[in-house]
Amino acid sequence: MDRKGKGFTLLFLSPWLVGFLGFMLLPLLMALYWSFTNFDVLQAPQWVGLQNYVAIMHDATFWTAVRNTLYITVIGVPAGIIVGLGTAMLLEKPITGMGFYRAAIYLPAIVPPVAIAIIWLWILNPDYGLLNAILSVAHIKPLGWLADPYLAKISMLMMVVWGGTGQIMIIMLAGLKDVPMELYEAAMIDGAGWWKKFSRITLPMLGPVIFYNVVVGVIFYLQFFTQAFVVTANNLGAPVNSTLFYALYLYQNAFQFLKMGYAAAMAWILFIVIVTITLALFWINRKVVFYGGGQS
Amino acid sequence: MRRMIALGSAVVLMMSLAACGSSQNTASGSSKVIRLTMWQQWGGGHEQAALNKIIAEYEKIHPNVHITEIPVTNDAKILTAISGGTPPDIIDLGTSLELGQWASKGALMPLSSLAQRSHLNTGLYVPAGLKAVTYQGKLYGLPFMNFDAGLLYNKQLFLAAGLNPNNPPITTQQLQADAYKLTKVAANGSITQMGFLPQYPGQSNGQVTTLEDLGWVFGGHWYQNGHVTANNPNNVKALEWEASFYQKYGAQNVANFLHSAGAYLTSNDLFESGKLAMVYDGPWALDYAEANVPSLANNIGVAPFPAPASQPNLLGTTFIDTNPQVIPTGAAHPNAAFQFIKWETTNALVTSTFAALVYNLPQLKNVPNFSLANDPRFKVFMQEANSANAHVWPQLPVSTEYGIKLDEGQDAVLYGKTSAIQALNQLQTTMSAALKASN
Repeated sequence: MDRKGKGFTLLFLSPWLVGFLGFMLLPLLMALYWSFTNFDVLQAPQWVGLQNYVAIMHDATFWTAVRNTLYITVIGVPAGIIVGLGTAMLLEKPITGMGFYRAAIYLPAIVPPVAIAIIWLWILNPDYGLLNAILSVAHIKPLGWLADPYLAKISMLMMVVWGGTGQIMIIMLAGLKDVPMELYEAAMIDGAGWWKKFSRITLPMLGPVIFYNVVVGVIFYLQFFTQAFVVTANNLGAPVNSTLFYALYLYQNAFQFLKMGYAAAMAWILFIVIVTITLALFWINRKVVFYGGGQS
Repeated sequence: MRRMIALGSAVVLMMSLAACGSSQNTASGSSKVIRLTMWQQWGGGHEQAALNKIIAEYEKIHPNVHITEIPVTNDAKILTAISGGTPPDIIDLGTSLELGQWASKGALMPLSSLAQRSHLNTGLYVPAGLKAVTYQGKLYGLPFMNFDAGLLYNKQLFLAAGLNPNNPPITTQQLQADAYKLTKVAANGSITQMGFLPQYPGQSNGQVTTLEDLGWVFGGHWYQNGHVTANNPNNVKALEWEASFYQKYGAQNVANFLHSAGAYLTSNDLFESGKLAMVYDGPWALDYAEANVPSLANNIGVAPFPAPASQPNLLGTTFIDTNPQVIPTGAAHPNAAFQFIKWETTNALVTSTFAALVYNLPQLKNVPNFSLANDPRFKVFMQEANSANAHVWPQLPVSTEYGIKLDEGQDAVLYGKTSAIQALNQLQTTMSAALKASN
């Protein structure tokens, strides 16, 4: 590329570059600095070394938040993929009204998360709620859902999985279309049943798509915030801190307790954890996932 | 937190405010227009309209001042503006909950010297409201529209349960006995009606959390002589009393009932929908009931909140708070801003009309022609506000954290995860350390 070409490249890249440097990299580095300080946003930060990190390790509430976050990640990621893949497989076959079903299932993906949370507050209402009304047909006693420390996390997961299925389904559908028909035909001739075809052809061929969803899902759940924030707006993490997720506790420290240094340290710990997990996933990906066209 | 609605009184306000300033002298020498920005937490609707009437009136007598109000309810936004050096000139905080914490970090301008220079007579204010805007002996805001709470009860439900609707409980023991009579449980264990639910409406009406008040009701306190006193024996008693409602019907059943509530101050909330017979709430609840459920409104009785039988002098214990009018550090025109909040909070006509509009208590001791002053139900709240049993949440550098941790501890006990004494001992340790670290 000649000099002029380089100039143009930079010019056209500049909106992103300026945004990245100014609004991503700089805050990231500032947060790293603040994480070693006692900082309350309003007064100048004071250097305290590793004090915030040490305090975090001894903070029981922090570990509660970590446990809650791991819980929804470990359940939420596979649940989202199973439901998304399941619906994609159901909607892959040409049936009448397929366009409608696909649109209907995708619809929640374009509803803002805050609206989803509000709708689900009503669905999960112990008294007037739709879910308990359906369960009462089966003579199941009304459940507390968001009022119950054991069910609250499950309730959050239902909200998120419901909202995220459409997105995953679309990607899975595209992946399913890419599986060569010859493979299924060959398998059929060899007498393979539904399960054999699914486990030996569909799943391996979808490997890269599933891997993508795992990475995106893990990152999403580790930073999970919006729905939990809306649902427990008056007392974050209720009931009994059962929905106090990592990002929620981070927010609480930053803006309610004015411990911005502490929150910055939490943010950096989360950042390092996410990078590590993502790298680990990529490593597993190289060992396990099959790429039809060869791996670039 | 100020929760009010205007019921056609906007017109009255408009007309009466027109008279407010007429007697004041126009003491504005400079011809240069000063533009003030005010962030207010009243939101939109009638409160905003009323505020704009007040502003218009002020601008009429001070032609060189122009005030723009914007509803801003997000603390994070306010903090960002202050730390970024571009705050508004005036903020109506809506509650004093964060005042101590923000003042301790230098976010708010101390007003004592401005007050002295402009001869503000703080003796005009109801002492409790003044206390809410004072941090370490210094004034950090001016009080506007105080609010407290008492016992509201549904007379129809009292009658239906065979209780005398003109004889509300005066001891906590009676309250509990009445509450049990007023509670209905379905065959499957789920609660369909409750007599009293300590946690409702909780923070929604401006309390830190229910336990804050119950501690005071039982003669406890949360901070004294420079020390956190979370595990005061009376606070423990209060929490045990609160938990007994949960133990009686099963914690999860009570929690489910609590979560079945629709939005506070709508016809779906527990009290307005007739599912809760007694509630600890403020005068605005009467106004909302009138608008939402007229058939209920006249059947609501108001009484001072009961006290333990052994301490009858504590009858009518309440939290009290105000809408602090503060000037953030870095405000462009602190002097002009102070002149406005001084006028706004000391003008009797502004006070009486706004208070009547939003069913809040006047922050001034002396308010002639206050239309609600003779309302027997409203009077209960007015009397409570001036009693020794009206308490303000301590203004500390860690006030907010203290409130949130108190709520967490209460939650853990009500759900049966720990005992009252354990939870409050732990809170004592945590908050003593936090307070020490903040000094």
